[in-house]
Amino acid sequence: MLPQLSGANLRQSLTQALNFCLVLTTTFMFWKGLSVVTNSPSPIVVVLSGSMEPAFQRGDILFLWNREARVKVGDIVVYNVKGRDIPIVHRVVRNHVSSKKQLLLTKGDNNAMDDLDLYAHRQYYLDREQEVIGSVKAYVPWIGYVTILLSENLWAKYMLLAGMGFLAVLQRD
Amino acid sequence: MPNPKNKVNLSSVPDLKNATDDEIVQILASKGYTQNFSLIDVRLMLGFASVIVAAAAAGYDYYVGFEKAKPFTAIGVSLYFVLNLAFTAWIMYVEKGTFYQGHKDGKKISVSSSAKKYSPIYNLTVTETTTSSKSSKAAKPFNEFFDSTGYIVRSPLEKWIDGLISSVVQEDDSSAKAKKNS
Repeated sequence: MLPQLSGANLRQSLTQALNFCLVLTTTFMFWKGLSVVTNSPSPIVVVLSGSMEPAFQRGDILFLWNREARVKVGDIVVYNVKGRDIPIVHRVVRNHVSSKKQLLLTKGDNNAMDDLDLYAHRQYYLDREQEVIGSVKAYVPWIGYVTILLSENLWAKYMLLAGMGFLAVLQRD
Repeated sequence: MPNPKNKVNLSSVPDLKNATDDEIVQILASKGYTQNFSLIDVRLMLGFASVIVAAAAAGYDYYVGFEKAKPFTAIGVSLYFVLNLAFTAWIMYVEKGTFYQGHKDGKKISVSSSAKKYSPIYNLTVTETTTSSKSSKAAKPFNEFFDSTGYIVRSPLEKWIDGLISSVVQEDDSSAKAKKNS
């Protein structure tokens, strides 16, 4: 009788582990799916600085679209400077376009100067293909502030993940 | 003797149903039934296959970067949702509430249950699956086998399922005689 029951117990533990994993993987796959559809490695970003006020405030959530071959002057784009991890959300103020590529100069609405100093050493323009990860098509104000709190307090992020996982395991239906 | 870990929240129908299902599995094991895990195993395999697909897509994307991994990520996402759909379809249309399949003395039975949201009634179905596929359906409120503090009481539940099993399983004469003599 005992070996029988442990077969059932093993499967019960596996079922609970599976339910926990499915919460994580489904969320992740929705994110990746959105990424593929929008052609952007990070289709949803949070505004981290006040350099685009009054248009965007710190904590706003932006939705990006990256399937436009050429962006227009006046569009707000998100870009990663080569070698840096933090995405920057600024407006396109100048561009040079050829059939092969598009070079952009950007500037934050609330900044006195354009972004030349933010670019890499001896880099004078952004490459639309290489560095821009999308143009802003929609936004939701404020809600991103939670993610800013989470990223600035490391333990808060772990607490949230632990709490979500704990709940998924406890609920067996 | 009751283990405080086994105390069930009497206000939660899913908890009550799961505890009753678990108790029935134990009752059948103690009566000498051998459990058949094939239904559960297919579900686990479908579920873990989709998790592995997700992990593989995540790992590859992390390793080679978004642009290089894009076609594989697209395949991975589609495959994941197909597997997940199959997983859900398996639970909804094939399992349909079946939580135990097993056999004893050459007779196979399948036990399924359901409980509606916020309803205190437990619906139990026992089906004989070797030959006749005769099934016996019954319903009882949970309070007939849970005490007021939240512990499940085995004997009324055991009597109930004994009755249901004997109403669907045709015992041939030799095993009936053996039972009478033991």
